[in-house]
Amino acid sequence: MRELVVVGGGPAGMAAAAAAARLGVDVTIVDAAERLGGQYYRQPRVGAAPGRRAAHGLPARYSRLEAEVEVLAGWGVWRAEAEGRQVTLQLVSQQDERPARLSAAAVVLAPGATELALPFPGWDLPGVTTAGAAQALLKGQGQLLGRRVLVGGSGPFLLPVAAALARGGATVVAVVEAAPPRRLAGVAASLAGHPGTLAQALGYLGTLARRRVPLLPGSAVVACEGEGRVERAVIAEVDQGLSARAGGRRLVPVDAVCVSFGFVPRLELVRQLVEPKGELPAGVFLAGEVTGVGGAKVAEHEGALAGAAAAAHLGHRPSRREERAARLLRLRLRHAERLAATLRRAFAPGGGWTGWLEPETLVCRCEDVPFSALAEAVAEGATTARAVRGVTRCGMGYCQGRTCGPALQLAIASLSGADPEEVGDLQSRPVALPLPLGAVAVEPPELAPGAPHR
Amino acid sequence: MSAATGPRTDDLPASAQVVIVGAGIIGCFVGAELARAGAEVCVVDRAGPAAGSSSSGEGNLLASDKLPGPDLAFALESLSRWRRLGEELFARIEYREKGGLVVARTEQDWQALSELAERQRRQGLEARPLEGEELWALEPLLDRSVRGAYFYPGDAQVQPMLAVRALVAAIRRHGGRVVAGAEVRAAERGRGGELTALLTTRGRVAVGTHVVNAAGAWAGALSGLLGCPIPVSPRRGHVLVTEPVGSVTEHKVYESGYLGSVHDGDGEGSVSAVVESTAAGTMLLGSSREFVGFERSPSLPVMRAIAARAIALFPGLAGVRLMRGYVGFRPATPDRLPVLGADERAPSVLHATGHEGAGVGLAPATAAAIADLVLGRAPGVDVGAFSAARFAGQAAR
Repeated sequence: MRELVVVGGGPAGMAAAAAAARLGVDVTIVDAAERLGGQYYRQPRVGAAPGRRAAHGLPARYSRLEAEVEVLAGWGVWRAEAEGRQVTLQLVSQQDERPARLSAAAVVLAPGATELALPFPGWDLPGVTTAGAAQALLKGQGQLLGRRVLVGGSGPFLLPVAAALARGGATVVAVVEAAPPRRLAGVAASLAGHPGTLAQALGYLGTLARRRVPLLPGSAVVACEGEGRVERAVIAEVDQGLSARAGGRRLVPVDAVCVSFGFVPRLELVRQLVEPKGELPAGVFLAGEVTGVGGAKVAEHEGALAGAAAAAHLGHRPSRREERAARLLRLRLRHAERLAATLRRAFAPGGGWTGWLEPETLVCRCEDVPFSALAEAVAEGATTARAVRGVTRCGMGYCQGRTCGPALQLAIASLSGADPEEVGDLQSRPVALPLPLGAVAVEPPELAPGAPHR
Repeated sequence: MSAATGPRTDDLPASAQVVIVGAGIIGCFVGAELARAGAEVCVVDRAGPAAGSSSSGEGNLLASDKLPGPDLAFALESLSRWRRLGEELFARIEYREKGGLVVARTEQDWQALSELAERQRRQGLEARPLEGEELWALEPLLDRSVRGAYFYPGDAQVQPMLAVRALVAAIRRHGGRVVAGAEVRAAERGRGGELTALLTTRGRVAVGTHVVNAAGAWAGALSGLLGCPIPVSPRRGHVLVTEPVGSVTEHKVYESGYLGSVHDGDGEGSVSAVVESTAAGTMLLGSSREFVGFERSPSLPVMRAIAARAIALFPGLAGVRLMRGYVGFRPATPDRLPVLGADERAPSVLHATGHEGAGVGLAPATAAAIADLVLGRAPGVDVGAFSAARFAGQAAR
């Protein structure tokens, strides 16, 4: 049995692992990707040619992490259970789909978030992706999605993606931000107390300004068109609830469009652990986006605190100096979390986007479920995501609602006037990621410490 | 398209001739039957249509797993009623007469299955023994070590959530109401002790002539509130769903050991293989039976056993991906038979519950029987064997 297992090798997971290791805990990080870093510090793929467009890699503070902790890269966690004083994780190798088990006296869950993709007519055309996918392609493989790229959606994430694409050699046609100028001014004002974030934002804006990339606030990509591939984006002005204003639509020639409306925490493993008793079992700690989307800085602060809390749970007493550091960290976290809350409010998408859709616009791309089917189910009285899924198959396909689930939840809320919380999500999944039945059917061995991981 | 239409949840009426508690497949089938016959119907549910067990099963319409006697007779009656619903509806509810295949693994199982199937045939159920090449021709991917099988061409399947959706529409079309979010908290009684109204979380509804207990796995608790407790308890089952695949099998295939676990009164934690495909191309794998209350968190050992037994029947499944899983709660009675009809302890109450895993299949015959009782018609279906009186003095587990 391991002492502490950290699920997720992104900013929160790495910070948790580093903090716990510093306090003398034997730490294991498990992550489905083949290298540490998560989405934010995504490293080039193993064996990828180092290119000028590739990512910067890990920050210096994590350069020794791989030597200090055990890193199980390329293992997905499909199920988590707690019994007594032990948490057991069921793993599946992302290389050869072999199952394994990992048990620990304590666990930090830092599984991160997935992007919120809101559908629009033409979002399923080749050349249209999420902003995160475009960035992952660039960071992981040094490739550009297209030459003339439009970046759209809402939220602070659009700027780094647009800047990275521009630096990587793409012509960024425009950054189309749904939030109105007034709200952006409010965000800018709240950055005053956060010099680091402000400098970062100004850096991105400078990169974009030097290349004369127009920033279009209060607008949205409401459709994409093209024969067999995206050729034109339709941009409309939107009000603060995301409803398109009458008239004034423009067609912009593009060969790629990437859109993001923010992030949704990945809750499968948390739900699996909480469901049996209705509460998080002792010895399980959460960090990062899974506690509420707050970005990399908040995630790292939370990770460090979760790592320290796990160490304390395991009986590793911190020194006075470390206690002081933790107090300071909590203050920093509170400060960073205030900004994160401002950003969440400023960029939360309204429900008006459902007005962009055509009846035949697909919401679920695995099962080909059009928007009209959702509207019909809601009109008949289905009020929860689960109920609508049952009669429409939206979210029942291979991705199990990982792509369309959040959009489904928001669409039902928008159509029925209900609160998204009441609508519920599709994240209660006993199987956190698909794996062969043959791997489920056996009781797998505990993964031996020090065994080769790849 | 700006579909700013609000959700359609009917308001609770001040009164209704018949109040049906439970908007699952049973409650909605009873409601549609009565509404069509002109009765004033109100279906109340603590959540909404098909929010409970109707959305967490496989949608089986089986006669093959019924024991000769009243159990099989009722199933045959119900399946023939499903069959008469008509092509137009079948397309909307994914009704498929796919046929069931019951597989015997050992010589001993084969003897027992043959004996049972012969008795079922004498009662009018169509069943055909298959061995060797004949069996491999029907099921090319079946493991070659199985001894033999019986094919039951009348076994069918529907998508129960779609069926409930169609029934809800029918109830409304005939002037009935389906009220979501109305959990029954208490019953009001008159001077003579007769039931006069139900108090729900959405208000009070006065009862005209009847209350129908169609609360499924929750029917035990409801029957207590109504003053006529019956021993119905939740018997949990797991279903595993694979990624969409080509046709591993076109039928519902299950081990003959399944029959034991269906009819065994005390068989706890038993797992037997049930393998079938859906119209959407996914495979549904079952089955398990456990008494663990309403525990929603699935059991890993049970998931493992279901996967292993399914692979033992169809070795090719080992490489197929598991996509999701869910649990559901069957309304179980001590003798594994439903509880249908009047209850002498509460004259206005009619039970329509306790179907365990067969509720979807048995819904049409149940609805016909309950409608006859409500409307005072000569009974078209015999439900004498399913009276609540047989449980006098027994409590739910």
